[in-house]
Amino acid sequence: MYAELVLTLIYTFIFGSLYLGIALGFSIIAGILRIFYIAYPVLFLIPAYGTWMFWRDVGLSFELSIILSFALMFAVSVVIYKFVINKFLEVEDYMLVAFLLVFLVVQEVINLVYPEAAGVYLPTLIIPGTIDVGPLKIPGQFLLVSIASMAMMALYIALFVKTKTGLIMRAISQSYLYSKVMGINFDLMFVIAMIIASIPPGVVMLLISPVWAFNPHIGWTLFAYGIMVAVLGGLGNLRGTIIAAYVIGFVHSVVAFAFYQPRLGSLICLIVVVVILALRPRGLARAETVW
Amino acid sequence: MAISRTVLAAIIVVVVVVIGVAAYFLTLPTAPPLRSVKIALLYDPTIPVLKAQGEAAKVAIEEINAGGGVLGVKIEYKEWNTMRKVDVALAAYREAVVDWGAQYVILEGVSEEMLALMEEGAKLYPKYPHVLMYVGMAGEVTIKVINEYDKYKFAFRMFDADYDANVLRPASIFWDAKNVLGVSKIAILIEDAAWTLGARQGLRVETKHGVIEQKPLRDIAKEIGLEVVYEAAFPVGEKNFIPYLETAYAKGAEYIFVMSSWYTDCVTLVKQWSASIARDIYLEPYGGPNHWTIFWDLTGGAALGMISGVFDIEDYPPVSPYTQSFVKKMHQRGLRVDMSAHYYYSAVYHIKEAIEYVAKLGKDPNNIDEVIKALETVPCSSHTLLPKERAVLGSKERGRFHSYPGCIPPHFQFQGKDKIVLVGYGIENPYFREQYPENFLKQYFGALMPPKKPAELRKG
Repeated sequence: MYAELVLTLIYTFIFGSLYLGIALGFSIIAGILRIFYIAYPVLFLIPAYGTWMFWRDVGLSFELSIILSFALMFAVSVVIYKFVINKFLEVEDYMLVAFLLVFLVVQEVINLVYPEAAGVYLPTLIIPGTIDVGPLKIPGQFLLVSIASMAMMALYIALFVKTKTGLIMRAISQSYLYSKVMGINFDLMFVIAMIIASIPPGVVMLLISPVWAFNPHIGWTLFAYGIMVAVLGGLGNLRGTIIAAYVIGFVHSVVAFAFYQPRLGSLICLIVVVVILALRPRGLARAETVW
Repeated sequence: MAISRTVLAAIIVVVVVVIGVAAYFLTLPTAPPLRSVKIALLYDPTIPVLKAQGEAAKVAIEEINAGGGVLGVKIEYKEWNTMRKVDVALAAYREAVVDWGAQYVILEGVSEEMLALMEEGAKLYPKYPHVLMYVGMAGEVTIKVINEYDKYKFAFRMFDADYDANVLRPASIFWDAKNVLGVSKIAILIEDAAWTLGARQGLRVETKHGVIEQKPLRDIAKEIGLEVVYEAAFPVGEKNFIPYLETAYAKGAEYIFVMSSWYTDCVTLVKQWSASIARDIYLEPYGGPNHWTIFWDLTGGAALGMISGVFDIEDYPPVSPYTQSFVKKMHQRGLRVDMSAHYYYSAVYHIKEAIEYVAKLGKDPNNIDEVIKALETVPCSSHTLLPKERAVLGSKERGRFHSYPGCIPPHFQFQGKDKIVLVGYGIENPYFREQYPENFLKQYFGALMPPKKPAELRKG
């Protein structure tokens, strides 16, 4: 029983942190820009396949390839902002369709150039095998991703709470109209928000790829986790996102390690989400501000 | 000059023999000329693994045409993208048979597509005789043919019968686990899909050819002498295998068999295995990209120590003269070869051999009824994975009718990059040893290499 309890707790942390890292960028965009960013899956794909492209096809060093792939992702985010969000902010249905098209085009291009049989793989395995945590051996790379996710979360909280830029972003997320009256440069703030929101999915994808699925279709799968966490937490609220990520991580762990029924993990998570949303339709935290 | 009686008798015998032989050849029926061979390829070329299967059939067609065709007639082919959807596949099928006049249709798709096409084909057949071939799992296809032969005789499943795929092949895997890897406690993880129902629960189906029985995997393992310490089903598309691997380790498994298909994310499974507490336990996935040599790259080397059937090796045991050349040609096209790709390729050759057999008997090679009978009678001597003795579609044992008695592939271990070694023949199991030709092993397979524990391989 003791072993099951410890396993449950440790994997609550691991799975919860992983879900947090996946959902973080989506929550930031939803919180600040107040949009449902369906093009989010491209933020998992571009850093990963961009790195491969610069590294293997262009022949640059691996480290430089990572930097350039993130630069590419920032550029894509800015382009999406300029040509989709900026243009269709007031016409939400057009914007959603445009997001979907952007995602599908990026995915299909990647699938065409780097199909699964191309054998794309990134050597980002930093902690191979397991590491000892008390009496248990825990997958080291999973633990690394969890810690990276928590670190990014902490940085973003500090940004929102401690900096002037964060204050402005919180103000925008609280009231778009009043912020405008105060003379805030929306274009700049939204572009910054898009860029900082694109970092967590890229980092998570690079670090998780040695121990997780990595193919041109993985973006949507990860996005599904992100939506579940963000919606349960209260769309666009980081406090809620944190709570929701660990609630889902806990449910997964309990079902898998305490009841030995991993097959039912996803189903029970969805039931929990439905029940919570039935009781609290706006999620675990009220979504009035990003923090 | 008097002729002795003996000489006279000899002359008479010779004359009779000459006249008899001449009469035989003169009265031998001559087959009418073959008018055309049209093959329709129905598949989804947008998915890499499925594209490879369509391309495999095309490789066979190109080879046959380059060699003079079938009875001197070049094979024509056309492709349709089914998008793996039943309605699209049905429309493509009708167009292929009715509008284009395909006599042979080879479908790659989900079993629902094949079952729908069979119903449509039963209506089309009287006016548009043709053969419908499907490379995939779905015992229902075979059972329909057995129980309603006149209605569905045009349908063939150019793949292993369920009994062979779900009983004999796992039995070979378990036998090698016990006798080659030397394990006694195993975990069984099963993809929770319709095709694994028998593996999970067992099956008993009564047919016109008798009862088909399939034991669940746990019972097969027990019969081989293995203790099943953990069994679990996992959902299709599962991305988090850590709980299954942790539990297998906690229960003391020494070997994990994963009943997987292409719908299981085997890349993720193997990556997580190599990063988990279970990484010193032997792991053997069943179907999926682990059939490819490039699986090593896909997993970034996480496959080190993994056991699998691998059908993509250029020096794969030459079961027929076509085996190695086929794999090389596919690689030259930048395509990978799994088990199904071999069967697609071989299906085209089986059609050729059946048509030629009909003509050899002096019958009309354009008569599809005759070709169907020939397919049931003539083994495919060009099959790239099945020895001629098993490349037959007419066996009425264990629900094998209109499907093959199956491939029992050798087991390989990923012992390093570009080092995939043969560790088990797969057919030593007395369960079915007698079904293979006596000299099969010596004829086709090289020497076995000793398997190594994953931990030993990691140390280098």
